[in-house]
Amino acid sequence: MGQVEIRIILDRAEPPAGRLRAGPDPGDCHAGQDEEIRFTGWLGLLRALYEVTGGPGAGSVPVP
Amino acid sequence: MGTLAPVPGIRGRAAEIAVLGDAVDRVVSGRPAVVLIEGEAGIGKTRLLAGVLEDARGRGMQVAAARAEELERTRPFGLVAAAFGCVRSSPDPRRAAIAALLATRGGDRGPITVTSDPGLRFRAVDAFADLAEELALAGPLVIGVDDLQWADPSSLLTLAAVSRRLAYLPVALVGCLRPSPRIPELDRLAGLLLDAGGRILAVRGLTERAVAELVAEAVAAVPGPGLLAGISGAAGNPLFVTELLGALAQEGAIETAGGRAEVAEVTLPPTLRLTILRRLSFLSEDSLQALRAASILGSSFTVTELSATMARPALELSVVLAEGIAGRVLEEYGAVIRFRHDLIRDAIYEDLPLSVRRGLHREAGRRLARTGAPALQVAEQLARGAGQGDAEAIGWLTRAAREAAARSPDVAADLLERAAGLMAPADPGRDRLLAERASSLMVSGRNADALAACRSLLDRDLDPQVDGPVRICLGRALLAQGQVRDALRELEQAGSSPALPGAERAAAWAWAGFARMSLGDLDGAAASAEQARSAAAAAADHLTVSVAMTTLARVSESRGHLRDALQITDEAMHLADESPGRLGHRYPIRATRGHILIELGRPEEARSALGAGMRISEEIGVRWPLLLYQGFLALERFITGEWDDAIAELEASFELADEIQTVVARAHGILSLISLHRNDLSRAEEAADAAARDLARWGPGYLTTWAAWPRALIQEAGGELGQALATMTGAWDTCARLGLALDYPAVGADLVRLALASGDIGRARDASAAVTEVAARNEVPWMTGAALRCRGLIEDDAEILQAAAGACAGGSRPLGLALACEDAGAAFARQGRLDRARPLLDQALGIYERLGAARDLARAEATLREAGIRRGRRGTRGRPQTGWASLTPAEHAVAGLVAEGLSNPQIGERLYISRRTVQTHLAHMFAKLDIATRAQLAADVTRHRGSEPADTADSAGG
Repeated sequence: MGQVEIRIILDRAEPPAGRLRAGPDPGDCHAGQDEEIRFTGWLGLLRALYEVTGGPGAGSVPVP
Repeated sequence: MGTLAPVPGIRGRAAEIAVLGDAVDRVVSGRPAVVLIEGEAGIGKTRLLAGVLEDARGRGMQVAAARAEELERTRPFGLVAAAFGCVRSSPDPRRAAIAALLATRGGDRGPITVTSDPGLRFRAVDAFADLAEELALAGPLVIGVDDLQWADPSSLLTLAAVSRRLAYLPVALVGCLRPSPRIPELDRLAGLLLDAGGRILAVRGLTERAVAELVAEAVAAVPGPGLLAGISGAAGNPLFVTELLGALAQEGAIETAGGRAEVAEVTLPPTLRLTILRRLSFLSEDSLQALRAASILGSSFTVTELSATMARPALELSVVLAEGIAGRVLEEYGAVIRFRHDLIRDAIYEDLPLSVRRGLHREAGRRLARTGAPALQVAEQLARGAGQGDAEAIGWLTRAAREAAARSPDVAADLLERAAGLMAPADPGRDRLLAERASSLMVSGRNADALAACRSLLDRDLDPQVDGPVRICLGRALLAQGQVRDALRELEQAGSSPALPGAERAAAWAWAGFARMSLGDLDGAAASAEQARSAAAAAADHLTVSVAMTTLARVSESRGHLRDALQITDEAMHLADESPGRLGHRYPIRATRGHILIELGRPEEARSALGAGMRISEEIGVRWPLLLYQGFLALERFITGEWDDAIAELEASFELADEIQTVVARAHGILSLISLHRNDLSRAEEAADAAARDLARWGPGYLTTWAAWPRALIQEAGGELGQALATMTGAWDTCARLGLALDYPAVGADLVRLALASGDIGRARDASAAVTEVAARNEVPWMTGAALRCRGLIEDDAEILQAAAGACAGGSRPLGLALACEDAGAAFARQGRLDRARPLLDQALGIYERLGAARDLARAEATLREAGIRRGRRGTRGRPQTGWASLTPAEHAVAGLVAEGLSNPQIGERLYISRRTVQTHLAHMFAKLDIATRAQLAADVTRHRGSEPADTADSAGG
């Protein structure tokens, strides 16, 4: 995964709610389109981050 | 989720475990133990409690355990019912009966309310205490209650009652609580438990070493310095540590190599809550949705409830919840599933936006209502989701309050307050709800809150139909606080309201009559009571008929017309017997009847009436009449010379008075007199002060004598003769002004003595004439004796004084008999007729010895010495202070029944005494015999059985 710029726009702070926008690094000419995910709560924010970063919580998380 | 070892064992809590182990050891040895485990959320209280309960089970002990829940603070007796397994389906009939009691409803007439059944709450408290006692009599019992900060007020009240009752049984009470929130009931319970020898176990953060051990166990490797440094941010809170480790493990941040676990960097979230959320964020979305919905239901829930709330099949949810259980978010606990920790639930719940939370609560409430869930559960959900003016939530809160009222009036009051809070100020129903709330507060004993609620309502321009009941409530709350004049004003204002329905107007007059009686306004009391009786009879209000007629009997009694008074109680008893459900007996007619019988010199009948009345009060669970019964039983024991037993009754009544925050002037007066006669002047003064304090709020009235009489005798003992006479004449003149003639024979001789000693012959003659008139009217031996004694003292006539002793000998008042004998003996001695003096003085001395009346004994011995008379054959000495021979007849009886394995309620029933008095007898016996358990007492009984019986025939009768 290349570099990604993530912007979090908060409509409310606690618990947080708003939109998470992930866009390509402006210097990456192969990058795709911006992706925007709405979230509510810290859980929602964390999961949105996993979604755009492909982190361990993204998608279906296997239970060991 | 996660790659950690199963939940690590308890670390770094050796000292705490030792304290808890000691508690279990104490119980094994037959003694009680109380430990309150206090500490912040997540610090490990629940683990410690689980450990001690496991230890107890391992040793074959009985365990009753439960955890209180934040969303169930309004479920009356919820915690204790869960702990003792009281469900309708219980195979144990005692438990099933308690469950049935808690589910009591009024059948077709709707739910039982505080008005229809004011005693249900205390019946339930007593039923739990009885059950706990029976369990403990069978073997050691450990009661474990977690999260006491969320416990409902009735459960806290029950735990207090249980702890008092179990003082000499092998029972441990182990409770966990956070430093906050703390409701007043919890503070009261904690104070009571600590006063009774319980201890606080303050649980703090783990040491660094303990944290290192915990981490090592969790990661199954030696933790490296980076990992430990990062974890140190958890401040030794074990939940924080394990949650953080869980999050790190899920992120794959912990690397283990060569038996060493390390992280490159620990990014510690700023709070435990975010740490928990960080770990939960790895769960599937389906699981998270279920957890969010579950968090709306509280810390625990059933799959059925969740299924109803989410409108999803239970089977499908079971699969989803399995992920939460595997991920240590949830755990199964009997029939319910609960969050592994309240903080996990809170983190999920608080992560929902407020508007979403409210919507989910509202939806859950509606869905639960459709499934027939209890009103309280539905109301709790709807209230949390409600906005201003939400009629649905208001309706359910009101319904839940009325259902809860009889079992837990505090809960009802809180629910009604919430309902009223949702109503617009102009809503016409709002004041009615607030009036109902005030009544619940009054019944629950929260008098100060009830007063504030009533006054706040009355500050406004109330609907006349609400104004009356609020004033009656205010009047009764003021009466309960001893503010009789203020109470009277409110009650009479209510009674004069034309908008008040007949039955309520009758109640206002009846209680106004009660207030006037307490103030000593006999004419006013009689007038109000007559008015109340007619109105109540017309309205078929049987309880109010009893209140009114009892006041009429008290008026006659106080005027010194004992037979008329007895006849009124006969009639009142008959009407109460005939009333539906014997409702009329809910008012303590028998207390007044018992008092009249005492004054008529019929102590056996008095005891029987008082004992039976007390049984009824205990059965219906109304506590304040118990104070009357205990007070009159103490009076009867005092008068008949069983002073130690009188003290046991008095101590039980002081404890109860303290508990229900009311006044017991007469009881303090009796204790003062006993202490004075026993030459314990400091205790006599303390008790006289307490009596005066209790009466101070009333002003001079009905019980004036009970503060003034002992005070005057104490002043006489201190050589302040003039002051003593002034005190006595002050009280006498108050009685004369108010027409309280019944007090004359009791105190007349002392006034005559003091007046003669001060040279006030006129006062002495007036007093004597008044006593003679009352005595002639009633023809009771002790009164005749008192009248003759007054005359004999004035005329210094030994023959009349001997006649006084003769009259007293026909009664059952040993102290009065001894005093008459002493006066007669002294008079004969002054005449030099020593042959007549000696037997009289000997008789007085014998009685004083048996009573333990050291002060009177010393005075009579001095008279004997001054006359140069050698004492004849000595009578039986008073009881020793300690050892088996020191036990009183009542204590012997209690000890025998303890040895038969009877519980306190069973003993109380056999002996016609209250459960509290049984407890007081036990406390006295344990101190006298230097033992700590019922088992030791039973062993002592067995040891002494067959040997020389203790002198139980030395009751101080003449």
